[in-house]
Amino acid sequence: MALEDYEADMTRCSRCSDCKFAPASQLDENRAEICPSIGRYGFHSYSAGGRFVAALSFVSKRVEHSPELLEVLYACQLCGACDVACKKDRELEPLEMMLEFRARCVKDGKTLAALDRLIESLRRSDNMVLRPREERGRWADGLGVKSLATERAQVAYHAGCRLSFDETQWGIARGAIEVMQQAGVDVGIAGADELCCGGRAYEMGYQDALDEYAERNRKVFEAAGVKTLVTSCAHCFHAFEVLYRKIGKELDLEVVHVADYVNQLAADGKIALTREVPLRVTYHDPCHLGRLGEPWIPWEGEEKKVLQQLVLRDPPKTFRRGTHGVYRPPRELLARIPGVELVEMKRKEAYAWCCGSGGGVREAFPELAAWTAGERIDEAAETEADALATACPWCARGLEQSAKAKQKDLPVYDVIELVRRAL
Amino acid sequence: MSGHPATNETGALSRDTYRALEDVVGPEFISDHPVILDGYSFYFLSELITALGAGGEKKFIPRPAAVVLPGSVDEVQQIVRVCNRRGLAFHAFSTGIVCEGGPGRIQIDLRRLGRVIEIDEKNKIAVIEPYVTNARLFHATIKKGLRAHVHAAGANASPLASATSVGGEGPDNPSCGYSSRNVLGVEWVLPTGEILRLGALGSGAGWFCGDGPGPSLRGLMRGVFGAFGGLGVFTKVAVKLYPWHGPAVFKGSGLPPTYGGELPESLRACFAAFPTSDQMYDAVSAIWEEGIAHTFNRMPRSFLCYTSSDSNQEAWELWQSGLLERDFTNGIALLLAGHSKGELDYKERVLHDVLARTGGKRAETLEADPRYALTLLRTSILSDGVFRGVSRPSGGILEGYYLNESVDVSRLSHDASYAHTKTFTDRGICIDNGETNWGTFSDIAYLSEQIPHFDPRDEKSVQGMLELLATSYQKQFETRSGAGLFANIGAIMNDAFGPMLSNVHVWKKRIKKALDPRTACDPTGYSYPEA
Repeated sequence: MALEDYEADMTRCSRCSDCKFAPASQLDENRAEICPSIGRYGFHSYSAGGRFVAALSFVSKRVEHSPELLEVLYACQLCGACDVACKKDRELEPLEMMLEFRARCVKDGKTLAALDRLIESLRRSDNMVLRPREERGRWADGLGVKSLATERAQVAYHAGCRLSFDETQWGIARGAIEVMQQAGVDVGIAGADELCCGGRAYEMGYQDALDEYAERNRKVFEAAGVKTLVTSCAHCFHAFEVLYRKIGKELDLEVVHVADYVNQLAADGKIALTREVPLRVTYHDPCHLGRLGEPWIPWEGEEKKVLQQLVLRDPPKTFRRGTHGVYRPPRELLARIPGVELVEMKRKEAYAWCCGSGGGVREAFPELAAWTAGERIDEAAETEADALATACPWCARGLEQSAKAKQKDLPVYDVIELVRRAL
Repeated sequence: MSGHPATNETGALSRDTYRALEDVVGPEFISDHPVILDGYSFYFLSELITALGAGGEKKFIPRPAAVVLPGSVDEVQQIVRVCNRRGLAFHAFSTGIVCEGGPGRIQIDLRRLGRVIEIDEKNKIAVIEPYVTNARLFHATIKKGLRAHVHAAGANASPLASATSVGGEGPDNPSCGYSSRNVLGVEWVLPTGEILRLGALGSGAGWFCGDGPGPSLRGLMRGVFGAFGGLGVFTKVAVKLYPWHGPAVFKGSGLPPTYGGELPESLRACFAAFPTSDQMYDAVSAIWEEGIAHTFNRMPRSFLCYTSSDSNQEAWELWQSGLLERDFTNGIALLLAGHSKGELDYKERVLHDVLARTGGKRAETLEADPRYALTLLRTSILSDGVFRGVSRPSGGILEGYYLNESVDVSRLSHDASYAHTKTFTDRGICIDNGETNWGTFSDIAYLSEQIPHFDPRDEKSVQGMLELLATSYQKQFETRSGAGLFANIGAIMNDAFGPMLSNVHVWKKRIKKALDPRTACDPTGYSYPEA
């Protein structure tokens, strides 16, 4: 789809502000807003509705490329909160429009230097964190896990760029492998040969990267006979499960987030969580696992009208409304840990507040990323939890940094770290 | 006035003026970049407004010169004073469903003023700022067993804007009255920059009364329809609170798009239909007289169809099933509320009596399906899901006719419009065979409005909507059955229709001149001053 294909949506936005707020039936008056972008910058253009207007203005040639337009487009985590909120009552596609708008910018050569550097790193070293390729597999040293480069395995564990290179987070990936090994899972890793999923680049507008990495990853997994792909990273999960399907390069295997996978291991009695972990925990839904994690629903067709103006799609289109995101498994897993008491934040599941790290914001607008994470940390602290748990290393890193910056005594864990403590 | 021109020959703000405004709000909260400004130039009715000669180009009304986001009443006051000194026009909005205004204005976006300042449980009042939404106020007040009137502009619309400046009807009118009846103390930055405090607030006696001790200018401030931001900026308002019969926390436990939920035991959802519209209107009068309705909707079946479905496709399938045509033609929907089962039973018996007298019948199939009750609850109490009904079908909706009158006059309007609106179906207007009239009643009148859908993307549909508006207004005048909403909104329409409406335009010009001698507050949405 091209940006112009969303012109009908641009024109039919009714400025209802649903894209700015939690669903009316669910919201709390003190944590009502869901969009970090307009929350931080205030002007309507920083909301999904405002970006519809900006897009209409752009395709109508009222505005041209400019640094301000780039900021409006890129000072946004693409967390999808607006998209789910809008589609509660409407049939517009704000998130898809924003993705296409970014892609247009890249196509026109109008990009942000901070993101260009990431893409250069990706081209050079197959990662999005500006690190040398050869450091990639070090996180698994000493684990004795199969290498998919030389061995076949039923299950592939994909660490992703962040976990692979951030030594302080290696415990999450190592923990996932140890849990699976303990459960007797036939698991392997690509190690130093692991590739980026391409998802973050795609969201930054560099859509070609996704095509390339979908193809290269497919070959890696096929060669190793992988039947199930498990990842700890919500962004990777989203790329493998949602974006690859979206571009017609669905992997011929099952994609499962590690929280879901380990929860199933526990349910099947493959692991026993017996040790007490006496913690009051609040859970942060990663956007790319939660509302954006619901499967891609392919649709190709056209608009038609009945009753003069009632807009339908032919064939009927099922909109992704956040209904089938991965919300339940991480919570179930936490509930299985003896001593863990789960307390919810005011914004959760489909209307959870973003951690701040997505969409290129961490790299291009670090102040927005920090502010967004700070809001979430404050919200988590309001629950009086002892700790915050999440299921994505990007979320964990951003939230942990924010908690430290705010001098909050709120440790941030990946759910797998708590599982390990309970084994 | 400053000796420097505020704008250059292209309408852009001079650097000097920009700096003056920047000094007030800080560099983060002002912009004059076209990408930002266009966010304040578009809304779904733009094509209708620009077609009426208000300037702009099709989908965009004229671009403002700058947008500012004040963070306090003091900053609002300073902005207004800068505008006065430099000969600039300003216009403010709250949550911003509707953009109004002419070229070169300073758009004041009030989103940083979003506090629920006080909920006075004892005196049953809430004091709020402009960016507080219906939904936020609802959730804040039900914790204390109270709730405010919710106008029908959606869950994210501003109760302050409704109370002070714009319309304000909603399905809960029967138990709360409409917005004009709920406004108490007001903090008002006049077009000159002076701050006026209305009601008891004006004499330092608190927020509890809008009419004194202290200045009582409610009629001048908003009249029936409101000044649409043409008389200054309202920065705080107190609104009345009413008993809430439901739980202190009202949340569904499900997932999107509906999120689940159920009707509290203290409320009952009732749907009924009538063989003829005359019988339906008789029942409306009787229910009004009996005082049993907590909320009331004379509801077009299309509205129920759209709001109770999760998608247009689902709505179309429901429509095709014939259920609503069979069971909800000439339909009404109401919530009964009670503090006890006995009270609810009593009200339900009264309803049965009314239906027996008027030939109505309970729509049992609808009442047996919880989704209709939940839809009614959310749309009526929280204005939640309203945009499923007004915007999802085609993108645009507009009142063909709109009047606050007796039920009998509404009947005239209904009949007059029914006769001609059907002819608009081939002009790209979505009309449900005459079933487009929505209505409710309050302490002052029966509100009736016709809500046909149009597609803002389809030029034929936009043109058809304009013709429908013109024809509806003409029919209303011919049958002496009231005036359309748009006849009262905006300087252009006001001048055109004022002579037919007791010369209201003359009075508005006088008010504008008295309160805004320099025409500093953009008159586009209200009235130009008396010459």
